[in-house]
Amino acid sequence: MAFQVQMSVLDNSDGSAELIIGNTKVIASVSGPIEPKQRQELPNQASLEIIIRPAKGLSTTREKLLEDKLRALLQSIIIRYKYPRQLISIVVQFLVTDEDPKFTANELNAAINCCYFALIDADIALYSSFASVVSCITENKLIQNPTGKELSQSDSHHVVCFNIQEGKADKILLLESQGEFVQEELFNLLSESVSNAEELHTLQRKYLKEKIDQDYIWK
Amino acid sequence: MADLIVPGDKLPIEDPSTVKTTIGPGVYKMPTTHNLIPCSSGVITVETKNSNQLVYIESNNKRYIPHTNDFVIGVVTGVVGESYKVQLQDFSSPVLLGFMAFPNATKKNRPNLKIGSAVYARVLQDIPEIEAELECIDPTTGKEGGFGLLDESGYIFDVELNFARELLFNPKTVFLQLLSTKCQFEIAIGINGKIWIKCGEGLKEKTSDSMETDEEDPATNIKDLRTTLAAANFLIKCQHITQDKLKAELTNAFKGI
Repeated sequence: MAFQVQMSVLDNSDGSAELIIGNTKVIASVSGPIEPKQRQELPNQASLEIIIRPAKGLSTTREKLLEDKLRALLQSIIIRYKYPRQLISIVVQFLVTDEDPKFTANELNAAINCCYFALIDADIALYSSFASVVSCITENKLIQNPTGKELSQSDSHHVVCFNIQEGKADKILLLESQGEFVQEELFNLLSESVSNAEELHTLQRKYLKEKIDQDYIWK
Repeated sequence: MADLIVPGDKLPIEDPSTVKTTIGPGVYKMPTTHNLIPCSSGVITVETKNSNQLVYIESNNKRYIPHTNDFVIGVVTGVVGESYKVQLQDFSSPVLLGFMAFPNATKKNRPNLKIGSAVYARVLQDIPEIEAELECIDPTTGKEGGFGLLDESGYIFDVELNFARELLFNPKTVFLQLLSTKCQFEIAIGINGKIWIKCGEGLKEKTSDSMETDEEDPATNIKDLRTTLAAANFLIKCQHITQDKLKAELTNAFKGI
């Protein structure tokens, strides 16, 4: 699966990334570790503030749902004990989306992958790398990276996020499934997704290498 | 550029349970399992010396986290009890600079810093659970040692943290040497990504009584101001160009001065 990413696009945030994946375009910014508000402060670990803004209109319960899913994932991947009493603020702004508002799969997938680059750009400590893939099942046929139209015609759709250990997909960090499907179909889908996530990770490395070369251009 | 490492990779080091290992930035020791993992993406450096090994990951970032013995530039934002509150970066948690952390300071002889003034200081203590502390004393001599108030005739600007580290820690760095061929300057490099620079006499503050008497002063004053800004611009530009373009950039920055 191909994607394009540009890091450090925002001058005033500590880390940022702009990602185009499929027909979805998203920009994420990370500020942190910064001083939290009093009510956000946790004594022994960093607190996370995640804000998702839709491509058009104001944010609704749909964006709140996405925020919660993203938070559940990022909470387990950021080494929060490294930044006690601090705040890490993550803002995800969608620019172009390609799905019916009743679906969130493509957007969630783009937000997760974009956050990876923004977090790396901000140099926030992570337990491991992660990569997310989206797929749907239409009449027993598996479609990877569906478009918005394919999503709306599918029987079920799934977002899977793996953590990447030593270049290999290791654990499932997040699995969001919606629609009608049987266990066998899901297992089949998961094993297909593994190779896709690993492929995505090799591409991630390529972009990170470019970033490092750019950062130390004066050497 | 050398090897890239990302979080989740295996560290290319000897087993830390048999070889004495020192870890630097970018490497995290899991508190539960005592395993060492890379926690940031960057260039890995492993040095082995007399059966000890040192491992760290060099990467670029913009947000500074205080560590002991770092030299930083901060801005005084307030007073809490017996200390000044100092801001090292916008929106970062403030750090403390005690009234007693100055040479020759006593209970009666307090330092006189105003809100908004900039200081060059050393990080004394960096326990993440509590506020970090600064001091303006050179620990080897107990004297001032270049720390203290940075006067207002200089100019403070931001650079990325990896560039600030290069300027401060690499004695062979070419940038300052190159700059010195164009002008005389005084510089304080804060590892928190702030640089204070003053060329010549810098910008003098206009005092009301000297306004009419000095005829020649404004011209040299403006020249020093322009050189200071040119030097700052040159250093900012240096972060994004390769070394072979440095000379051209330098002449470009000092055009017409």
